[in-house]
This record gives sequence, C-alpha cells and structure tokens, in this order.
Amino acid sequence: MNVLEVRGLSRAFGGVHAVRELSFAVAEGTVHSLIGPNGAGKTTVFNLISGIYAPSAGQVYLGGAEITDLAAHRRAALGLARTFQNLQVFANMTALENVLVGLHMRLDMGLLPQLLRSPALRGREREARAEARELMRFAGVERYADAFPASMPFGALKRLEIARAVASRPRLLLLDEPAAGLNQTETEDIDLLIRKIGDSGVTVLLVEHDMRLVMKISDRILVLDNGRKLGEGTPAEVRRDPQVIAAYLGAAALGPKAGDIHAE
Amino acid sequence: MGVEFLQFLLSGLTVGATYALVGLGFWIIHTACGVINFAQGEFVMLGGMATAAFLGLGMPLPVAIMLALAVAVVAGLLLERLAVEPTRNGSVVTLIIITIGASIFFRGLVQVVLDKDFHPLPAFSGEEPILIGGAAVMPQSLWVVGATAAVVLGLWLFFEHSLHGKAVRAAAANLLAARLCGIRVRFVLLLSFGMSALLGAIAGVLIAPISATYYEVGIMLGLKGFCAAMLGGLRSGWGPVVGGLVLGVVEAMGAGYLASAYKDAVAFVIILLVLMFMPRGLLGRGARSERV
Amino acid sequence: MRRWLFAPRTGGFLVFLVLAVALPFVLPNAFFLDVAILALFNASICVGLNLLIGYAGQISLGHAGFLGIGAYASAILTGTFGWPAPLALAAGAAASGLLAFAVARPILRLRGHYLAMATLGLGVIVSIVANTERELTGGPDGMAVEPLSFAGFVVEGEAAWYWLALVLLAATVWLTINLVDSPLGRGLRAVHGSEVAARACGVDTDRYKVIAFTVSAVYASVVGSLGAHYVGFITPADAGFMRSVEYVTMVVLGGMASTFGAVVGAVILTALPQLLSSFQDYEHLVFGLILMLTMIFLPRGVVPSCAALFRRRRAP
Repeated sequence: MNVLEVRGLSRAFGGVHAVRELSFAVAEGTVHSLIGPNGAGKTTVFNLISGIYAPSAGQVYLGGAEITDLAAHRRAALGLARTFQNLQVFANMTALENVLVGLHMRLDMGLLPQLLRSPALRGREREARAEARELMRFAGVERYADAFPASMPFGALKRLEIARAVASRPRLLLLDEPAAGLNQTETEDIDLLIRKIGDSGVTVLLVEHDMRLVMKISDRILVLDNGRKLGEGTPAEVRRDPQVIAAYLGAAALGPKAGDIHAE
Repeated sequence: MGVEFLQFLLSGLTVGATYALVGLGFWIIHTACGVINFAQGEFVMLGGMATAAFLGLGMPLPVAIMLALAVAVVAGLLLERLAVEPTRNGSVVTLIIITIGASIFFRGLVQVVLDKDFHPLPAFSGEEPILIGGAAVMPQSLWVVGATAAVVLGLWLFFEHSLHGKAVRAAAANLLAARLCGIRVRFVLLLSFGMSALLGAIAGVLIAPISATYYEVGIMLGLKGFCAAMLGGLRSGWGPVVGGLVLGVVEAMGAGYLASAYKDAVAFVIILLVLMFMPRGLLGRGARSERV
Repeated sequence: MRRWLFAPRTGGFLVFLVLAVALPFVLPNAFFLDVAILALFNASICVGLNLLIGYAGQISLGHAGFLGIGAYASAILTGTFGWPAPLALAAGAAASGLLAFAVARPILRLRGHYLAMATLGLGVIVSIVANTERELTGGPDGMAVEPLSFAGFVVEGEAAWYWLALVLLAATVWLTINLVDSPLGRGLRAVHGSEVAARACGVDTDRYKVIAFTVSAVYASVVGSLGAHYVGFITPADAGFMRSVEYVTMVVLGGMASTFGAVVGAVILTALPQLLSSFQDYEHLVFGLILMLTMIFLPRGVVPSCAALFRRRRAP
C-alpha cells in the first residue's frame, strides 16, 4: 500500500518550472530518497507535499485520500510531518517545548481548561512532558531538554527537529537534508536515527546530498533533474543508470565520452 | 464638475507631492537597509520648524532654508549612527520601536529648544493666486510640485547613473556581495539616512507656507507618507511617487465631494483596503512566496 | 511546597501579589494611589497586548483604538442612552471583538512593517471617528463618563478602585501565565518562532493569530471601559496613535514574552511621567530617549535581562 502518491505534480515560479509533471509513489514502511543536483526542485517537492506551496497542477494523496488543497496543518493532522533544510526550530522556546509543539495535535483542548489549568490538563501535560523527554532521548538530545536553541550545537538542533517531527506520530516523515552541515560521525549518527525511525514503522521520504548515506539507507531512490523525474529504482539500479550518472554524479565521472552523449 | 473638480485635483496634487517626497524618504532607507524609519515625519517637521527658527533670528529665507535642511540632514546622520547602526541585526519590531523612540525624542527636543506654537512660513513668491482653467492656484503650490518633480528627476539620475546610487541599490540587492565588491556598506547606510532626511526636510519647507508648521506636524505627514509608500509599493522609487499623488488626489476629492471632516481618514481606509486585498501595493508584481 | 513556591510561575505571582497588596498602605497620599490605579489598568492592557506582541510575535500599533471603542461605548451608552454600565461594557467589548475578528484574518497575513501599518491605520481611524462625531463623542474636547455602578452599587473612591483594578490585573496575570504554558500558548509561541514549522506541526497558525488578536482587542476594550469610568473623562487622544505606541513601549521596555515584564513596563512608564511632571516639557524627550536606550542596550527588556543576570550570578 502506498502512503504517498503524487500525480502529475507541477509548480512554476514566474516563468521558471521548478517541478514538472512529477509522478511517484512511496510504499508503506520504506525509506524513499529524493536526489538530484542543486536546484533540481527537491525542496519544492517537499513544500508541495507538505502544503507550504500550492501546486500549479497535479494531485497529492496521503494514504489514498487526496490532500492537494488541504492547508499545511490539516495535512499534519492526517499524519504528515517534516523537517526543514534551513533549520526551523522555535528559538523562543526550550528544546523540550519544541518537542511539545510536535505533540500539539494530541494535546489541544478547549480554551477554558487551558486558561484555568484544569487537573485534566495538568495530567495530560505531565504525560506529554514525559513523552517529549522520551522522544529527545530517542533522538539523542535529552541533555538539552531545558536549553534554548541558541545555546545548542548545530547537530543537536537537526536532531531536535527530527524529534519534534516524530512526536506527532506521523505515517510519513519528510526529512530535508538531515545530514547537511554535519561531520562524518554526526552523519553516521543521523543514519542510525533514520534507520531507527524506519524500523519503528514510519515511512520516510528523504532529501539528501550525502550519497553514501542515501545509498546505504534507501529502499528506493527517485532522481530529479530540472524538476523532472530522471530515474527511479533501488540504489543498485540508480547507481547503474547512465542518465543519472551523467546528470547527477557528473559527466566527468564517466569520462569524456559520456559527457558528449549528455551534451547532445 | 469643471472648475471645482480642477480645483480639488490641483490641491490634491500639491499635497500629494509632499506625500511623495516623504514616501520617497521611506523608500530610500527601506531600499538601503530594509528598515522602515518611523521618524521620517520628524524630518519634515525639523525642516519647517528650523526654517521658522532661523527666520526668527533675522536671516533671509534662502539662508534659513539651507541651514534648516542641513539641520535635518545632521539629525538623520546622527539617528543612523547612534541608534540604528548599533541595532542593525535586531528584529523588525526592535527597529520600528527605535525609530518611533527617535521620533518622540525629536518632537520633545524641538518642543524644548523651540516652542509648541504654530509657525506659518512666508510663501516663496507671493500670495497672488494664479488662475488655471478657472481654478485658483497659489504660487507656493507650483513651488511644491516643481520642486518635487526636480527632486524625483535628481533621484532618478542618482540611482540610475551615479556610482553611489548604484552602490545603494547593490547593497539593497545583496549586502554581502556588495561588501565583497568593495562597497562601504556603512557609508551606504549613512548616505541613505542623510538623503531621506533631506527629502523629508524639503517637503517640510515646501508645505509650511501652505499649512503652518509646528512640533507635531510630522506625525500625520509621516504616516501619510508611509501610506503613500505602501500604496505604491516599495519595490521601486516610482511606487511612493505614484502612491503619494494618488493619495493626495483621492484625499482632496474625498474631502471635497464627500466629507471634509474625514479627510485624514481617507488615507488610512485606502491603505487598509490595499494591504488587505493587494498587499504588494499598486505597483507590486505578484506575491513573493516565502522561502523555506 | 518549596518547589512550588520558587517556581517562576507561582513564586513570581506571589511576589507580585504581596507587593501589590502592601502598596496602598505605604503610599503617602491619594495622588500616588491614583497613579497606582492607572498603572494597574495599563498593566492589564499590556499583559493582554503582550500575548499578541511578545508571545505570538505580531505587532499592533493600533491597540489604543480598541481601548477607545470600549471607553466611548461605556461613556456614550451609559451617559447618553442610560444603559447599565456592565451592559455598555459588554457592548463595547462585543464591538471591539467583532471588528478585530473581521479584520484579523486578512491583516494578520501581513508581516513586519505591513502589519504595523495596517494595525496603525485601524487605530488612527477609530481616533479620527472619535474626533469627528462631535454630537456623539464631544469631538476633540472629549466627554465626561458616569461613575461605574451596577445594581445600585457605585464604585467610588481611590481605595475601591485600587482593589478592583488589582483583582482585574491579578486575574489577568494568573490566566495568562496558565495560558502561555498550555498547548494553546505553545502554539502561539511557535507562530512567533517559525510559522511554517508551526503549521507543519499541525498548529492552525491563522486561527491562533486571529484568537490572539481578538482576545487582546476585547480585553483592551474591557479595560478601556473600566478606565474611562474611573478617570471620568475621555478624549480622542486616548484612542490615538501615540497612546498605542505607549502601550507597545511598556511591553517592550518590561520585556516581550514576559508577563511580569509587561506589568513592570507598564508600572515604570505610567509612574515616570507623573514623577517627572515638574519637567512637563521634557516628558517627550525623556520618553523617546528611554525607548531608544532600552532597545539599544536591553533589547530583551528589563525583566528578562535582569532574570538572565540573576541566573548567571547563581550558576557561575
């Protein structure tokens, strides 16, 4: 069963086609990667799926239901969560509170009990805090619980965003370059974290530039170039696809001949 | 219609020209550093009040005007150096509050150093109305419109053809790249505050003979200039000019044909409608999507 | 018990209550009590406004407009039309709430300067109407307001008003502290932190902003009504742009996103002009200077800056 299905998705900015006629599906329980050169439209695809942009054409389905016209927060309620390429942590809240916002949908209740801090609310808040701490432990950032983001290292902020996204118990998690800006060991830790998330049953759609990471953890890979689908398959298949190699891994990698072919 | 309409149109254009000057002041600073300077109206007030003060000391009008413009420019430079520069990286709210603080400070200073009275300035070339198509126009109105046209032309030449003007635009487009090209960004900021103070003060000197100046005159004029800039949009210098003229004319028509008591409300009703339904202003092209 | 006492939420609230209850007994005369009452009313407004500015991160330069709607509704409906005071107060609050709700969605889509301009315009329009509709409002000269009375009971004298204003503020502070630390409050703060991320977490940011704007507008209106009854007189300046700026300044000086900061800011900036009244002409000068210096040297505001200093001293 497909958790996500995208049909004929297009989006233009001014005259520039960022995404063109893109169709693909993500099967439940898999780690699916979206790769492509800079400017290929990967983040735009994420923004279209999560409802930050409206598509010019095409449809998006989550668990079989169409969500193309739903507001971003409604999509979240249907089980979609994401992280951001350029960090979007809430700098005005502690790390723990950041994760609590991830739990938001399960906590929200009427105005009056919140104003009066009713016993029911207090009980739920206590449980939520415990759960948020557990999530931070899961992401390996539990020691920053009461810290503000300004005092946290970059790598920890990336993990905090992941903890916040996982908090909503999503069916589909979109990770936008989780390893960007991280060193070798930190990247390996992120690799482990993504595997743990995948193992817990969450379907993951990943945008990432670190090819070693992508090849290692992906079940399937979709290659984007200029907003179009260039190729799709298992890591082994993608690695062998000459078109993909030419466009993404660089013509030089195949020698002058392949470069000539690509130029035509 | 006829004469009456023409009369409203001409007085609208006169007032609109001053809104355009004030609006251009907002635009210059906003272009150079993304700040909306809520003290812009105070430059208008400083121009008028300082001229009145120097006249009171017995100076001839041209000298008084030149000195007053210099006073406003110095005030603009000090504002940039002492208050805006130290908080360059602050949030929008921080900068809004700083410039609001500056405007209150300038008003307080003028109130203490000078006074709280109304000061009508003498018209530059007499009070004999000129008849245009049956409508009476004060010579001062021609001064206002003419001087505004000259300023707009000068600004256009400056930004399109001078190196400094290009430096300001470069800094606006990309601060880091501009710095790498050897543009002294601090100088650009200083320049923009100086220029916009000058524009405000010119507006203040031009309009003072028509509607007397006093220490609080800048509040309304500053807000209307801001309306003009928002109405036309801050994307290009033509925005505030078009916005100012449109605002002036609509205001004059509204006051003439509908209810003169609500003249001041016209600008704010228009700006609310524009912001609610076309937030990029009249000349704005398309909505800019947020980057994530 | 100890932890409960020293938690910032409860501990700060207790300190505030003790100080406020003790105050009338140490103030030397009615003049100071009058200043204290005004400070309490302003503090109430600022705590409500802080919800919008400090926590949700949406600036409003027109809040005095809502205050004015409440004040004029009470003045006109009780004075001219003989309505009971609570009913007039509720009518003003409803009018403010409806206006705020109607404009909130389109206005709050705007950001930064655009939002500042839109809210500013809204407030200025209210004060222009108050200035112009002379027959109803008395125009620029203002109008007298009847004393506050309900069910035959009249609130009279500084002491009675002090306790009324204090109960109002204490309740406001308590509810606000609860709200800020609730799921709704975190949603509001998330809007400030990153709107896209908040939406991705399932927070209906538009709805939250509308709630914050409407609630703070209704609240300003209610306090405006009570304040008008207390002072006994209102003018269009009470709804004007400068008054809106003063409220924002109080919030910013005390510390954005700090409920006690809003109280402290309101107290300082209400008391200062009164104490400086012998330097009447210098009031603007000093006021503007304070505004700029705070933003330059204490951009986070007095209370958060002091709290940070205190924490650093305790944990070397």
